[in-house]
Amino acid sequence: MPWIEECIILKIIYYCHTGKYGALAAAGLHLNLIHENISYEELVSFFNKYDCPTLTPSFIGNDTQGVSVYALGTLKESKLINKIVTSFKTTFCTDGSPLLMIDALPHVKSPLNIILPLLSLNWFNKLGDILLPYLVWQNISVISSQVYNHELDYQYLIMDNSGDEKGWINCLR
Amino acid sequence: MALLLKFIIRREIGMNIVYHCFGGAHSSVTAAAIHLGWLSPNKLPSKEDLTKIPYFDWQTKKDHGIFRFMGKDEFGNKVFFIGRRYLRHDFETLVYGLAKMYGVDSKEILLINTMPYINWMMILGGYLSRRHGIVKIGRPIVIKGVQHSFFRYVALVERVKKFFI
Repeated sequence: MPWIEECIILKIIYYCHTGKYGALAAAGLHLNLIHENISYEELVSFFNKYDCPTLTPSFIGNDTQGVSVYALGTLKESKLINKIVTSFKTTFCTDGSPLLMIDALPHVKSPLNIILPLLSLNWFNKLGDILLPYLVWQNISVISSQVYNHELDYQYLIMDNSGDEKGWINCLR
Repeated sequence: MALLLKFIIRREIGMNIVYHCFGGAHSSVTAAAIHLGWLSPNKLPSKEDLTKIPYFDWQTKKDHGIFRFMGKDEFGNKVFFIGRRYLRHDFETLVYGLAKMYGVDSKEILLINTMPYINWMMILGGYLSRRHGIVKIGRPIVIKGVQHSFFRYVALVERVKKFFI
């Protein structure tokens, strides 16, 4: 199976539409820097450690398999940004390293749903910076399951042909 | 010496010039076509001249966010266009951030915003043609709009060629 070698994911970008918080939490969960049962204060101190400007991919770390994990915060147009990132890679990058874009918050619980559309308003940013860490903390299980699901996908993609049937079935699913 | 060498190498490899606007259907495509010499800078283009340009009045919402290659200019630079909707300056931040992430020299990518020369006819015509698919009404309006701003796009492209390339 020579194609499996080409499927190795070298870069993962977690993106969200909360400015930075959702993507940072997902990257932290991926790299085991934080865990699902983290307290609110611990999560806030984790966010404060990283300067992650909006719309700038920020390198958070490498995982145990050498995959580079990035966080990309957006406030609006997250689907469009996903397309731009993918198109940029295929158009301007010649290294051929695969890229996986993962939405950190595809399904969020209220009241984050109500708050997020307001983020594109500049006056809301300061209030958003206070509310969002808390709301992301409330949604940490959603983010965690998203990270876990995608981690399974790419684990199956990068594993060698060891004859693990379950792995191959998931890979082909 | 090193600077001269770098300049020569850049001239040899060429830059990536990206014209960007809201939908990537009219203003950025027109500017890219002028850059590539497909439209004469001295003559107002006719309806036929404009509709002959590849991708003119073609992109819809699903095509936004994709870098489209138009061609290579006389210096060997690759010319692209893209529709980036409301991102404006955020688009530039994102692209240069991605360039840094991938180790691409940000000086190799030149982003040109064509939105300042948009007029109301291009907005109305583009909205009817691209958003609602009413091409019969929208396209003639947008063509009038492009013709109205055409020499502004010529001046923009001339500035790009003079100062950046």
